[in-house]
Amino acid sequence: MNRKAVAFLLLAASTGCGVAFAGGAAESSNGAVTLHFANWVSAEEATRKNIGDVIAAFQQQNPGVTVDNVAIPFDEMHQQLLIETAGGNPPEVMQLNGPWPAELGGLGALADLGKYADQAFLDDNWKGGLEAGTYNNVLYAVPFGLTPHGFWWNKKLFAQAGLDPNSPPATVDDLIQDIKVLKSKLPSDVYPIALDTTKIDYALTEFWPWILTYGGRPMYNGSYDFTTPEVRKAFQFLQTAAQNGWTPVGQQIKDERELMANGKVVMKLDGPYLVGILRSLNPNLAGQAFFDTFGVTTVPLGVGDTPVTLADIHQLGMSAQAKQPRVAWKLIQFLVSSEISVKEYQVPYGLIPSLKSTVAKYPDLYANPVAQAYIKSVIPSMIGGPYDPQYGAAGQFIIRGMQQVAVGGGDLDQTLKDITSNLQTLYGK
Amino acid sequence: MPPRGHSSPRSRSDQRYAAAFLAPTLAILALVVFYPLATVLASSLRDANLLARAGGRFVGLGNFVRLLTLDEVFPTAVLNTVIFTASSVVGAFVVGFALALALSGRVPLRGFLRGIALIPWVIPGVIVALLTLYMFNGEVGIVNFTLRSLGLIRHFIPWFARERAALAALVVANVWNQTPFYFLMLLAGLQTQPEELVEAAKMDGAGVVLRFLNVTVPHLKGIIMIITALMVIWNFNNFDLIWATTQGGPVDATMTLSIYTYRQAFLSFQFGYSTAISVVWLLGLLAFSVFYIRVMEGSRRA
Repeated sequence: MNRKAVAFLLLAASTGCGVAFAGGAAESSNGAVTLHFANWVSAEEATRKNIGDVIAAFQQQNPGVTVDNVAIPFDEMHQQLLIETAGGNPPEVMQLNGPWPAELGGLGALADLGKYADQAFLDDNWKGGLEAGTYNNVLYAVPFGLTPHGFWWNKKLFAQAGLDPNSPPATVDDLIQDIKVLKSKLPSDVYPIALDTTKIDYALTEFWPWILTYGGRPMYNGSYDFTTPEVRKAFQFLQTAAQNGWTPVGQQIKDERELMANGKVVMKLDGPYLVGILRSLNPNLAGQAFFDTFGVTTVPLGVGDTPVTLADIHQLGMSAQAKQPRVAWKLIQFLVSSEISVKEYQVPYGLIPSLKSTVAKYPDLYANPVAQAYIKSVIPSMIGGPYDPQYGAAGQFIIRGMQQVAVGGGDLDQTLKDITSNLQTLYGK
Repeated sequence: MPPRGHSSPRSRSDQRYAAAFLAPTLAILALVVFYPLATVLASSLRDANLLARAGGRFVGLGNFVRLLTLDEVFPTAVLNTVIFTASSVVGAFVVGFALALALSGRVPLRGFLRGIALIPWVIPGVIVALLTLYMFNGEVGIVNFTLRSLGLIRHFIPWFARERAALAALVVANVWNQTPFYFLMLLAGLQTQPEELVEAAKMDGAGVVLRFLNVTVPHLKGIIMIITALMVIWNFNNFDLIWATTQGGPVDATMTLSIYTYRQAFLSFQFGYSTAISVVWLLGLLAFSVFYIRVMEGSRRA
């Protein structure tokens, strides 16, 4: 082999090897369709097999359709979807959470599901569930399972403190009164309530219901004012709770749950999956023991007489680039409402079904007190979040402010002014 | 013989041959180093963000002006980076040097103790971070239990909810993790220390301290310069320990440049702005490296 040939081969090897990996289509020449379904539940040990069974059942019912199950850990999911979208190679169907539909929808990466969902399907959903996936009046995601924050309390610790174990606080005034009783009557290492004071994004998700229940609606409808009396009350509550030792500080949500599982936290906001989490942390809570120990209800009322919470739920979206959108929508519907999805995935995972008809169809699956409380009172109280494509950046300013008032010794009013000022700059107001 | 400055046909052929062999390496370097670097520099001059799909508007030095004049977190991030880096390097160096000196002589169980001392170094950064979270947990952490048992504190300290305590906790964890590196390098240097120099110093009446200052330290000077330079750069870039524990909080108490860049890029999606931070960060590290290399060269000449 002469020198020119050697040089050519070396250059070819260094520059051309990627060509072989390019390409790939959703539909092959024989009409077979491949859908990529990106989700985090396949990346989790507890749910991997269940969701795999659901996908296998879909493929069995739809010969010629192959679902490529793309498992991405929850912590990486958000970035991975953005990267794949930016790279022009998003999955056809994707599991979404919180503000992601607004972000990806704002990018033009998600399909308008209003074109595929019929009115009966939409009517079967809870209003708040659809709100959570809507941005600029376009439905970018439909609920996969409902996981809004309810107000959980430990009945046994209530009784130990001399409170009625079956009467959770109805209003925030009642709540503060109960907190004072719990603080004075229970051992010093037991905290009346858990509020997330860390810098993780979830701290804000967990705090929104408090802002909402006090009547605050910052970032809704183009208003970025955090200095309103309603928002101030919510931040004041956070500050007072942190400064008076009502809540543990600097504990991440998993630590708060661990404390709650072991009787060191009396009350907290959390989703319906808390049942499984607390049971896994404390085997003594198996079976009926859990329901004897914990109850769940709506977030205590701050203003008015209508409870409210944030629709922090699991959703499903479809790529705007999906080449077979009808098939992709079929998969979404199957995941949302099929019997195998309900029984093999949603119920074991602790999700409340997104469709009212599912509850009516399988009443025995939702007969336990937690599911009943969710279905009858928590879910009707949920509203969509103030999500938009800038929410990620906005959230950083709000979480910083939350930390300033809770653990940073910051002046409450100045902090709220700073948040407002930063948000107005961010949104160009 | 061909005239000077003109290469023979054979020589030119060799050059082409050499160039062909170098091409793959250069291509890879261009792909993984120069192209990303150029992209970062270009991006820092634009307001690239999540919504700006085409890469954003060209804003010139706008991102840098905002960073250096308006951003209230950036100065804190720079200060925290310097404090974290300096404390970690000095702390781990002192402990590592002490261990190396202690275990360089003939001590019982020397081999076993040397092995034990290396353990923190082989633990992955994320595991160190998780251990740190548990050890410094404000409710059940062993650090609080130990301090209270020793009578040093009366109430548990919520380490990651107190601004000063959080950075201190991370430095302690980082020193623990990095000490073995200094220990290993300095121990290797001590093994090559000429025994006759030490003996000569003894005969001249030098005590332990004088022998350490006038024989051991000069002998290890080269190693010390290299490992501290390396560790300054590594600690400047430390991400996993801080991200997995505090994510830069409470408030901005543990916000370093690496964490701030990440937050701007992947939580706020201000890609242009985050690349501007990384450009300033890169320039800072380059300035340090140039200064350090000059000091090293000056020291070597002296």
